Amino acid sequence: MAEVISMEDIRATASTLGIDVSNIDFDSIRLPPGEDFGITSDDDLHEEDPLEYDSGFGNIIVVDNLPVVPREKFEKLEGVVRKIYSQIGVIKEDGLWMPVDSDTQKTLGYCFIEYNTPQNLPCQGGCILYTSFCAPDCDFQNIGYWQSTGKCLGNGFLLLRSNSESKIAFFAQGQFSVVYGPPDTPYDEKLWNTIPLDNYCKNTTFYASFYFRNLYYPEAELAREKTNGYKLDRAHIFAVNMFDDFDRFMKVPDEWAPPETKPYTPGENLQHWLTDEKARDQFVIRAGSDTEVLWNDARHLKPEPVYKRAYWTESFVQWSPLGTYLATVHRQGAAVWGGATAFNRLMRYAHPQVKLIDFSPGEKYLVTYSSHEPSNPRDTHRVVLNVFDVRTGKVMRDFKGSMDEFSVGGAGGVSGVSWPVFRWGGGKEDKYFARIGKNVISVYETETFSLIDKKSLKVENVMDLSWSPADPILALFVPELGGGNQPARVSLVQIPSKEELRQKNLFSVSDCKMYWQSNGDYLAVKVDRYTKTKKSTYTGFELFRIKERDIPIEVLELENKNDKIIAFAWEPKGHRFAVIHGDSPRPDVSFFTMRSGSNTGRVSKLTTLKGKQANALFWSPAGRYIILAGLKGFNGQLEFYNVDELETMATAEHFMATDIEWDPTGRYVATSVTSVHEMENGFNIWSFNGKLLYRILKDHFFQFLWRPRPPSFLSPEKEEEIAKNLKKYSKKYEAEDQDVSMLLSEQDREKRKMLKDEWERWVNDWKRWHEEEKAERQRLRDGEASDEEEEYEAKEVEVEELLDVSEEVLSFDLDQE
Amino acid sequence: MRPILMKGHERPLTFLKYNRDGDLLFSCAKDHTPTVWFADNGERLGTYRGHNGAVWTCDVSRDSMRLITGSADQTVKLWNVETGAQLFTFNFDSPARSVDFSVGDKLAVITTDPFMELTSAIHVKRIARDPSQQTAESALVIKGPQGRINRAIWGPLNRTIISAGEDAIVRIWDSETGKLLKESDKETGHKKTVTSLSKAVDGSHFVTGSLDKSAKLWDSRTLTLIKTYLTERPVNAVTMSPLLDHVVLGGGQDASHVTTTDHRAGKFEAKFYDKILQEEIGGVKGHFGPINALAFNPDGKSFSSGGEDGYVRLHHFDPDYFNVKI
Repeated sequence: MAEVISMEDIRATASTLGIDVSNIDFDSIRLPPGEDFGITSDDDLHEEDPLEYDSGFGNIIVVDNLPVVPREKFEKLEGVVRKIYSQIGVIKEDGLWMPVDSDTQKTLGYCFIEYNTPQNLPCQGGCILYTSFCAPDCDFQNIGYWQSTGKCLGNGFLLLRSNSESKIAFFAQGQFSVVYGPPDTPYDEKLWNTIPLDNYCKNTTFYASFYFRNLYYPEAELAREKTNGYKLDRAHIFAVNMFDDFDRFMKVPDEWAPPETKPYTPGENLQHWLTDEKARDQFVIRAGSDTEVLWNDARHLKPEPVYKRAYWTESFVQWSPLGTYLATVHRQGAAVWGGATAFNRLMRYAHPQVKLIDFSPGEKYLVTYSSHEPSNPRDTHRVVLNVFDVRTGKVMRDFKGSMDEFSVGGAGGVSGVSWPVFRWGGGKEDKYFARIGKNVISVYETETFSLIDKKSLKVENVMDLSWSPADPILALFVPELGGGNQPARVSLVQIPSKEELRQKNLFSVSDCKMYWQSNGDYLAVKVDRYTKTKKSTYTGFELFRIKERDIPIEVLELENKNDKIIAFAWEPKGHRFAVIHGDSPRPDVSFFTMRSGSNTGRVSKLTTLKGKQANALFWSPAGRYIILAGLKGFNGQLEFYNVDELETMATAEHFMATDIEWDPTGRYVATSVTSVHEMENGFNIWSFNGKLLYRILKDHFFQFLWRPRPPSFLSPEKEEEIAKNLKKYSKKYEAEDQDVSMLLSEQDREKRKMLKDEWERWVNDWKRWHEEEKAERQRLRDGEASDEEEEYEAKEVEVEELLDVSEEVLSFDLDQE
Repeated sequence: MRPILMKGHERPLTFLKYNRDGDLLFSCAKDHTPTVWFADNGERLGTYRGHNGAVWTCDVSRDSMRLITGSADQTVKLWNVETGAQLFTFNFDSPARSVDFSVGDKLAVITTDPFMELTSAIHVKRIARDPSQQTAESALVIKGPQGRINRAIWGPLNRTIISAGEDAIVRIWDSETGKLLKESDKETGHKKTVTSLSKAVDGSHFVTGSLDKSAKLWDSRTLTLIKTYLTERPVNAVTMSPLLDHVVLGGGQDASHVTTTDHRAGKFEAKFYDKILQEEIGGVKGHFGPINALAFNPDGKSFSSGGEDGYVRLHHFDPDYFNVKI
């Protein structure tokens, strides 16, 4: 066994030799052949300490319930068994052993079968197929495929060797953990070979987590799966087990020992950011390879950094719906981060090649999605979905299937699945999730993670479904069938009773879109209908009042029926909605309310703004204010509009803006230009009323996301009370604002003074030099002394020149007066 | 004031230069013919015919008698400013990118591009007072920097040569021996090609513009980085006001990337920065292509810009400009 050297010892040795360990490039170290410096090679380790790994009988299965046969029939039985099992894989030479009772000369009714170890696995026994080496700032970044055994040498280091080059890397103890990999993680050589080897080796601190996959014997597993319960004849039904399982189950102690109660260790405060003294909001940005979380410090007109990390994610980041976690996405899976001071990793969710993730609204569950290329190019893509419990990291349920099964409804077919596949319902309790299938809607409950009533809801030809954001009510849309014989319909279904609450039949429909108000009070269905000639369509709205008795439905049509609807948006928590309608480039924007003054039961129009350069609507999350935005073709026109007063507060432009997002409190707005454009990348922060607060430019800008906040604990009454006495409350904040702005201008003055002084010093220096070199310069110019002319001074010289003086006698005619 | 639009070139502008008195403006363009204009009213005074390629650069002697031009036709020519007559031609084996007269106009520094197998080089030529005695001999040739050297100018008292180019590094050379004296730091210096370099009237400091979307101000003697001006566009041209503490940056999206949707997308503005505070204070729009050249009139009361669009715009400042307080 190798001598154990601690990092301390190394440092001490290095310092006595005058070497700075942190400057050493470990990659450049090449050991002379045959020299191992007392560190035993991996191969030796294998032989010395095989107990480190599972027994290595993973490719052996035990087949039970075979007929007990005498000697003469032995060969026949063996032939039958061999025939059955060689269909599944190549049985090792002498790999079939049927023990015989030495007394009776009869078989014992069971046999052992050993399969060949698959050739594509590069190593046997205990080997690492998956390693993920992580410098502290690059989680899940694999730096190589490490062929040989990873082994902890005492309390010191881990010795590893990669397959491409013989390299030895040391890892400080305590920084790594050993993890057994998920049983069906496929080995993907292509993936490993794409991983750069060198970049991360140079850092000094590493940690590694290992996925040991020494039990990956697909043939044995397959054989067990396929033939367990195989009926040889009526009396002999095979019972097939893995050989290793015997061992495992034998080891289970007979007596139950109470599990040890671990002392409670308080977790981190994941809500810490909400207790910010200045009541600021956070946001995350991704630009280049960096991901950064910042405070929006609007008072100081700049963002304040919270946490920054390069290569934090491999594709994108996402906040959980209540802002508790930040999710990152990697090749091997997703991870969530959070905490009071820094962003620590809280949990990992293994899902190879994950593409998309989706949190449940109460952030209890995380759905991950990946699609895999089929081995046969004519097949459709294979889709894997996992539902994880966010806190425990356990897979609650997985769904596998072909792309076809998951791409019903929505856009369908062409672009693959419409994300999210699972729509979460039942408000913040995360009770149900639903998915649309062919002629079927599957609603699962999270208590058991199975279908409600064990069966799906049959709905012929269902196209779209959408949950009420607050109640367990599903809205379904079924298009017209049989060439108009069966009308299209929108129906509301209560879950879990599956009772239809309301249904509305619609005729000559081409398309339907459903929009829920954020409290689930109203549902607007935008219906595109064919005109009589069937050549064009016009649009109307069906408005459902969910909370009223019998759910009354109202039909709303725009004054000009032929207007195209460009955008529709409900006021969050409110009763109003906005519609952009008409023709580009100058469509109209109309506002409607569901309860107008005296007449609460009717929808009425508030106003129409004519000819706006807008194609998207962004309500403030607190309602009342809305941004009419002209994105894409309109170059980023912004109009900040107050719907209470029906007046424009400000118009502005963020040239080329691609994204707009209100902060969760409705105080600020971020507009950003992401890297879909080459130029102008960056973001602007505006106040709710359209004042530009600050502007940050970042090349290769990918994402801007405000950190969501959980709902307020204040009751509506209390909120109203605060709104009434706003003056009283705001006094304190106004004073603070003033202090800050004083401080800022003070700082600004000081900074300017400093810069000016510094510049003054330079200028004086230059003047001195210039003076000193004067004679030399004159010499170079052959004595021409005209330095003065080089420094121009703007002098205004007034020159009065008397051109001419003449006297004339003017005659007065007094009579005229 | 309304800018004067000077239409004389048929191809993108490359360089602009005022004479010392500020009454003449010399312009170079890719159309082979350097042109001289009255700097006050923008009237065209004459052209210098003889080059057979894009003209990249020019300089005019202190007494406004001589013009030197460098061209892609692999020649550098000396001209009589008044008559437009060619006085002498220096022949090179690769295009000439930049020329600069020394203090006293007895020397000129010329840079040539890497071409075929040749590397880029800085040449120093003696300029004879009498053109008939002019020789083509080089007093000094400096080689070394990778890629094109976009600009080389004389340092104080002609003792040094300051160069910058495609490798993003600003260098100071000894003009006697050709030894490299100083190099800008990779960390703090430019990250991409330095496109332009312009020195202060007294030669004490200079400003460089780069495709890394910044301009930097350096001390000519120590190569100390003093200021950095950040912008949103690659910088093609820089100049400094001789009168006020203003730096002007011109540039814009690379011509090959210019979108066809909106002229604003390219940001073809000449941007004014406060030289000391490094803050943007204003902009002058007008060109509909990137700005390739900028020059300040020595009196500081007007400046001109030359664009990829082939126009020179001559701007006389309003009186308000001189009273700007920030």
